[in-house]
Amino acid sequence: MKPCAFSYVKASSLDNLLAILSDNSDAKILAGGQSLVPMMNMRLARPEMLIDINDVTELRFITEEQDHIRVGALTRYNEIIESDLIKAKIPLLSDVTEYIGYIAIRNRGTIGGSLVHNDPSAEIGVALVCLGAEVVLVNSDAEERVVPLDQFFITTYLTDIAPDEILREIRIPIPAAHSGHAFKEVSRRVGDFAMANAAALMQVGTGGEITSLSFSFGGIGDVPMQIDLNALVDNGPLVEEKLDQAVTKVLREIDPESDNVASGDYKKQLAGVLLKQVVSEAYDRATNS
Amino acid sequence: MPEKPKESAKQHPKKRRSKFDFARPRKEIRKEKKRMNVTGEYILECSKERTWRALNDPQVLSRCTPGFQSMNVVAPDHYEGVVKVGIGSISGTYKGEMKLSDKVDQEKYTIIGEGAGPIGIMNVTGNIELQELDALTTIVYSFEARIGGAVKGLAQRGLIPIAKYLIKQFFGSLAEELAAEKIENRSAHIPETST
Amino acid sequence: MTGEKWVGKRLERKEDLRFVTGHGTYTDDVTLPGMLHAAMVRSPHAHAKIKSIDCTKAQALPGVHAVITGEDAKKYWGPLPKSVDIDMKIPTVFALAVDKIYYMGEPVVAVAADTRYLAEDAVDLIEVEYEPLEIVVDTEKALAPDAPLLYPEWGNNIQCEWGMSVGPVEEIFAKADHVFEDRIPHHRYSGVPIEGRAALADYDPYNRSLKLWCSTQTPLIVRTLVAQTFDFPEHDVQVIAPDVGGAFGNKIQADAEVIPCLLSMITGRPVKWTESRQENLLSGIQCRDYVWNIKIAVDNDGTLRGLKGEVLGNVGKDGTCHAAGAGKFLVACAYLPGPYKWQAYETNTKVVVSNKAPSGAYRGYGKDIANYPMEIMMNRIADKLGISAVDLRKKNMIEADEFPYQQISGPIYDSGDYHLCLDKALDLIDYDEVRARQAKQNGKDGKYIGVGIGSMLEPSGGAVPMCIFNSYEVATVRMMPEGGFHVLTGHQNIGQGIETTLCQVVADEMACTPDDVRIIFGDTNAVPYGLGPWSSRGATFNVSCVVEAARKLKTNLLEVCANIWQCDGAELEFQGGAVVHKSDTIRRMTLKEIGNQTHLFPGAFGVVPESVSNPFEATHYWTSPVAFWKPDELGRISLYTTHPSGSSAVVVEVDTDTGKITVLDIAMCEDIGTLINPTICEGQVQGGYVQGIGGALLEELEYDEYGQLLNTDLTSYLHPLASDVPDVKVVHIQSPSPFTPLGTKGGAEGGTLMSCAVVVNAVEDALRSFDVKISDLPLTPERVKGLLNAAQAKRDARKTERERKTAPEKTPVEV
Repeated sequence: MKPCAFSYVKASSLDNLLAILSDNSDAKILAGGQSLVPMMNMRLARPEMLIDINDVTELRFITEEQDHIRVGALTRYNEIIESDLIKAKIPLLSDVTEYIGYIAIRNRGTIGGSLVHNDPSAEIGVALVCLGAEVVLVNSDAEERVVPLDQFFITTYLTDIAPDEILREIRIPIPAAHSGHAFKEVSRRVGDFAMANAAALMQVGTGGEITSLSFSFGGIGDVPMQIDLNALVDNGPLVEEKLDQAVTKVLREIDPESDNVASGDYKKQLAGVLLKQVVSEAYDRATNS
Repeated sequence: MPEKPKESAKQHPKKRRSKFDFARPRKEIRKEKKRMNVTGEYILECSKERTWRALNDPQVLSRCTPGFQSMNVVAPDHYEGVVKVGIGSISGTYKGEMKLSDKVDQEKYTIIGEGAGPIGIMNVTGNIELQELDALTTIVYSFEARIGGAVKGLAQRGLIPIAKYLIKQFFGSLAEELAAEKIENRSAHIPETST
Repeated sequence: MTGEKWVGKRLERKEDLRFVTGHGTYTDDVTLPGMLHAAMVRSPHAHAKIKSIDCTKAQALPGVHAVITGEDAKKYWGPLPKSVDIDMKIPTVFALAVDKIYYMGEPVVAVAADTRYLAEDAVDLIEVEYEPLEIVVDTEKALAPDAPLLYPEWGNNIQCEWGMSVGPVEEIFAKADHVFEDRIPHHRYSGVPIEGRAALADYDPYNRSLKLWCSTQTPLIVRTLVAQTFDFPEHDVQVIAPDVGGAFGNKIQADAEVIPCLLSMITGRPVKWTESRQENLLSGIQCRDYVWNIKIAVDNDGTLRGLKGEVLGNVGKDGTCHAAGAGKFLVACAYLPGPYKWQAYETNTKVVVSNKAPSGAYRGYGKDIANYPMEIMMNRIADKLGISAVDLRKKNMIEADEFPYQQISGPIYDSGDYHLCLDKALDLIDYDEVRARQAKQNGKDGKYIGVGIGSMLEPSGGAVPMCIFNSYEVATVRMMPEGGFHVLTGHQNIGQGIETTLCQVVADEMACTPDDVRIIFGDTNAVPYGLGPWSSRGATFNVSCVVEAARKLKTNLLEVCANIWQCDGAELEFQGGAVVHKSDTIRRMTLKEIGNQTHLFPGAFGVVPESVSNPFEATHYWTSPVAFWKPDELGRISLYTTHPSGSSAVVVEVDTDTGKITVLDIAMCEDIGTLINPTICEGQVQGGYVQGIGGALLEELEYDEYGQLLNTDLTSYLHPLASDVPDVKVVHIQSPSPFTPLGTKGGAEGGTLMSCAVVVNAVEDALRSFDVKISDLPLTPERVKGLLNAAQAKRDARKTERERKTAPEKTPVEV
């Protein structure tokens, strides 16, 4: 199918982009186009104007600050995979990016595009929620707004970005040294959208007790969601019984929606399996690092 | 269409039935038929009478409907209009009709809505029921929607969350309307459930 | 004849150079001056009356040149003609809906505009008002007495009913030690070739001609059907099928292809239609979708006695005018007995219409429908009788020395060694090792391994009366003055390699090289009437008529040379690109020399004797020597020429935590008679097998009860990818067919038609300890998990019941 007619303009810089946006707040941003363009081709999305930001190089960067890493919104998935800095400091992020689609998609798709699109099981979103990331939005008056990622996601395909704002960068706290992380997903085929996925990040003390644990699900709620597993923190070494109890508790609390991907019941079953596998693997990594 | 009772299994012509027969009566082993169902409650600090009046006022309903574009009254409780529905990049302009029926005055009614647009067709059936306790009115709602046409597939995953979000927006706007009518500016919200 | 032999060689395909470098010419690559583009309004409802259509806004859009409804199109065309008519009800249906629509996605209005973008903009502006009708999609529901009717004049939703009964059926069933019975459903999916349908029509009023480029398997049949639809002189229609990007049976009709023809007639300009993937899934040809009720009478020792099978098939809107989908259920009935011996057989089919897209052909065409329930039942029966699945098959398979063998349902099987194929397949998968691995590893991390086996029969070279799948093929082999050859054939290259294999065949006959031969196909003005590739006809009908034509030409050329040398033709032979005298080897004339002499220097009068009717080319019309249409004394007919066969095995791993299935290993041994090009034959198995795995694990056209197709793109209609399947190990044995000149049997469908059942067998084997029985496909992780949960619930219930019965009496306590 072919998209509806639209006008097209290419932004040459961030300032130029914001200027165009201030006059055309209905416009859609074209970055990698991996989510937007298929929707346009199917005429599900009908923007009147596309602003191509692929030349706005100020939005492509990966830099290290004192306690966090800044990633520009236009950074491609493959650049994240190839970044030695991210591999060294935030390996969870490198790992999940390998699960995204196929190499052609990863060459084009961008981290900012994924977050603004907000698919419920987007691997990047799940990992960044687990990492406690925040996004920096800037509007056409150059006003900045910093929003924690879990607040940025409102509901499926909807985020807290105003029509005259762009997502400029993502700030990711650097996990402590010797953290353990894990990510797993269940999908129909290699590279497909996940039916459900999970990410975990933890630190383990000298006695084998978990001292901090951050855990998130994708595909279970309407957006990537953090799960409270504090019952496992400062509670002695991780044993199967405790983990099973945590699983039971979480399964009582979540209520996944049935949709064309899977029924709510099945998603619940996957959630239980993933929680156990991901927490165990993160624990192994943390205790062996 | 009401289900006809299934034909009983054909009588096996053989007199002696083997213990190894593993024919089973036909079960519905199909996938759970997924209809979009959204149910929930919304509490307003407002009398039942005023809530009922607002919910039957086409002007109020128009103002509260997210994406409302235009409307005209065909007959009492029968409206035609144009609504632009969508979230994020996905949106569609639907031309449709809405009827309010089975009214029990001050208590409840049924909404039947039908819309068609370039990206699909939409059928909605909803029940609204009011319950009053002290100065609060609880609106209990249950909607069943059927979406057809091209909007399925790629957008399917977002349909229920988006519907819930739009319903929340509707009731939020309604609450604001009623508050603006000189009622105290407080409303509580009980989390929805859905099937 | 001595010299290099080409048949049997693993030649690289001639056509691949243009395909892999992106230099193929597909229908969409063809552009004509002034060309317009078509798009269609498609119904969002599955069953509805059309109340009104308002095209005014669309017609006013600049760049739009034609907007036409089904009602107005009746000025130009009639209903779609039937493609099969065996005891069938023929509905009156049009390519654009008139009064009523029957399935979601059915074309209602057609638009021609300067670009496809504008055409779709125009489609958006067209307003159609519908009056929804009651919908029926489920096969069994469509048979209910009060089901909504698609064609009220029929009184029911049955398009065709057919059956047969042979042997003392009731007596056999009464006497047998066991009768096993089961209901076996199969879901709806299709071939989904990478290139969808495409058609470029050019109506030329000044030439009084209609030219149609079309992605199709059957250009000649399309020409006939298009001529019939428009009541246009067939001799003024030309169909050109350039490169075809996959077909698998999905492109054997003229359905939506007539719409650009219509638009071209209205506008007087060429009009192109290239379907989107969404259109292909929505309204392209769909397949499978049936329910079997099977009963098998068998003795304690595993000897099969009697077979009863009823199949209810769902052809969607229609199974003859839009595409020939109905016929496959008759084929299924003819071949349910498979490679086994029976004493009694009873079968019938009801072909049902419903509010889904029309059904056509897809790799198998009934042979898959026959194979699926049989191979599953064989494994289940073996399990219940405590016999191995391998032994049960071997006990009942037709023996190698029993051929030709007439199966109880009528067809005559030519040759084969079913036992050897089974042994080789098991060998290739290393069956014993898999069983050992299974015993050792099952249960670790919740993962279970299973191995499934199956055997198949692949009847090939169909010859069906009253049908486009008819009974002949014609080819011309022509030599040029310079000694090269053309083969003119109505066959079509759809990826099966005829541009190479036919060259190999001719090269052997004419003692030249494959590079000396070019296959001419795909242009109805240039080739004899041929029926195209389906039912693996290439190696049966097409190769056979080409061989016979080549031999005729050879005979004539030998006579010419004998005439030139004034000797006996028997003393001459073709060798090394020339005709040589067997004893006096100095006498040698190259093909080029012969060509020059007969055509120009000196020319025919000088060298061609009167006895030779044509020194330049020969044509042969080949029919099946073994199919017969006149019923025998038992009322049976036989429609297929050769019967390739094979067995295969699959190893799967089931993750019982998530329900996900991984295919670990695949092995197939096939007997397709003489192999012309082994690499191509192996490729057919590899691709075909993976298609069946797709059907078992991934693919489904998901219709809900409102007839809404839920998945209309490739993110939700899932195919296997290279990363999802291991390499398919293939080995061939060759039992030449006595019915074809080279002993070829045809073999493109074997992998597809059996792999579904083999995967199901493998999964049931893996989950044997859970007592899980597979019914619905595809085996999505959720479905498998559901089966495991249900089995667990049953076990828990039984356990609770046992505990309750053995619990000691509780003394009531006073409170």
